[in-house]
Amino acid sequence: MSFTVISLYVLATLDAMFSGVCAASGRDARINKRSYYLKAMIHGIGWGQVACVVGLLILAAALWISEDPQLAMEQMVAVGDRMVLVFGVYAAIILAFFAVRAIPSVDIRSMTSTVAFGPLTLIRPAVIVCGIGWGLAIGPGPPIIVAGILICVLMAPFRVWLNRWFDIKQWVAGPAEPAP
Amino acid sequence: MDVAVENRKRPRPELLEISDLIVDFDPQTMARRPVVQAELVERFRAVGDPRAARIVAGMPSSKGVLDPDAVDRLLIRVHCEMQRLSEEFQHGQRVSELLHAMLAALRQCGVPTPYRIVDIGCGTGYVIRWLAARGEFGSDVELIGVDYNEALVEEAQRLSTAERLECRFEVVNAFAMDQPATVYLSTGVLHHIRGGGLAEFLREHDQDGTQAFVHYDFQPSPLARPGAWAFHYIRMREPLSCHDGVISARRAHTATTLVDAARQSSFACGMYGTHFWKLPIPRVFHTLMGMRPEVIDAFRLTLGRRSGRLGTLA
Repeated sequence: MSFTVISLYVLATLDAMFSGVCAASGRDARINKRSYYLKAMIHGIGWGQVACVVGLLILAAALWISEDPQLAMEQMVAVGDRMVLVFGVYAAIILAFFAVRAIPSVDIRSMTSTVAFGPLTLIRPAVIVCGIGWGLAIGPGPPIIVAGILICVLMAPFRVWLNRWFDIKQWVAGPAEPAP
Repeated sequence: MDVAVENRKRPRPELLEISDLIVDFDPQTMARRPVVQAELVERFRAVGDPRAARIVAGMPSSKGVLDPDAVDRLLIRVHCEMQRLSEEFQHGQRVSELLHAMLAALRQCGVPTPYRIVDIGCGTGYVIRWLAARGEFGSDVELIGVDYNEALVEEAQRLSTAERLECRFEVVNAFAMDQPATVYLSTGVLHHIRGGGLAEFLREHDQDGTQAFVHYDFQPSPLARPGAWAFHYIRMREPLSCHDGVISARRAHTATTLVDAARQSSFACGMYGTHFWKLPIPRVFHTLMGMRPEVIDAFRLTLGRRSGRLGTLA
């Protein structure tokens, strides 16, 4: 069980970190902005922890209303194992392209954006739906199905919500004055 | 059958970019001219682009005229989003590599310094600022960005000052500067110039002291339209960015159109970097190049392993 929980937590945190970068991109026109993206990652991870806590509360509620909590827990782990498989493959593909991007070639780096990161970003919500759907396909009890759907509704549009939050916080532009 | 023939005869609707039309300048004085919102909305409807009409109709206005400050703020946000694509496509590094080879060729041919690189239609100046920050050009290379839009130029200068970059930005016609450029440069500008204006624009590069020009623009291909749609849908937030990004790809000039227009100047012209590694995979951008004929041989040498990307310059 601990492997499943830790794997899902790590995957969710990674997703939240990259979501932070995506939500911050295109808002700061400076050339040198490593610290800006670092801050964006931290914000993404922070909101990712909030999402994880909300997810845990949903699962706890599902356990609480289940007629057989022991069985429900076993079903949750089985669903989680299948989710780890789908999300793990997706994460591995992304990380593999980051490794390719490390090659110091303009063409290779721009191609990773064109053929990898762009389309992979596009399919992210679908991957979340598929991962949770694949997990729920084992046929768990209704509370777990409802919990899975709620977590899907929480995580699939996570980037959209993060974008909205960055909009509200007006994450924009570089420093108005030269750095000292 | 008759319907099919009729459809073929029907002229293709004009493709208009919102960003081209929400600002208007007097080309002589550079003074801003008012843009009547209702006229623009009607123009987009007339060309069958209700989405663009809706975007323009939703823009702030005062007494029927688009609010110039709101338009400027919007354009700055749009350019910031566009910079994200340039960053992903490594555009700064791409330009830097080509310019280094070009300036090395000019040095070999004894062209006197300083070399002035002028980015036409620089917007918020991403390319020039990138070159200033990371390009490692010597002190004998001046980096200048020019644009008609004062708000964009001010933003470019603000960003450049904030990062203490050695470059400058001006609101000026690139071909009416006190000193002409050694190399004219642009990114995503050529498709905005339609019809005979393209050849006229390229003929204007024929200035004393100008040695070359390098213009990057979208390359038309079967993948360009869906690719532009997907990328702008994923990466852009402003509806204007999404709209104009896709229209830009659709309006892109073919290499033949570009080279035919460029060859009306006295430069030896051709295309650079149209495909990946000699494979039938088109690049997102292709590059129209022109050089003084006496520099070409040296340039092929300084390009090194990238010389295979250079087409015939004639």
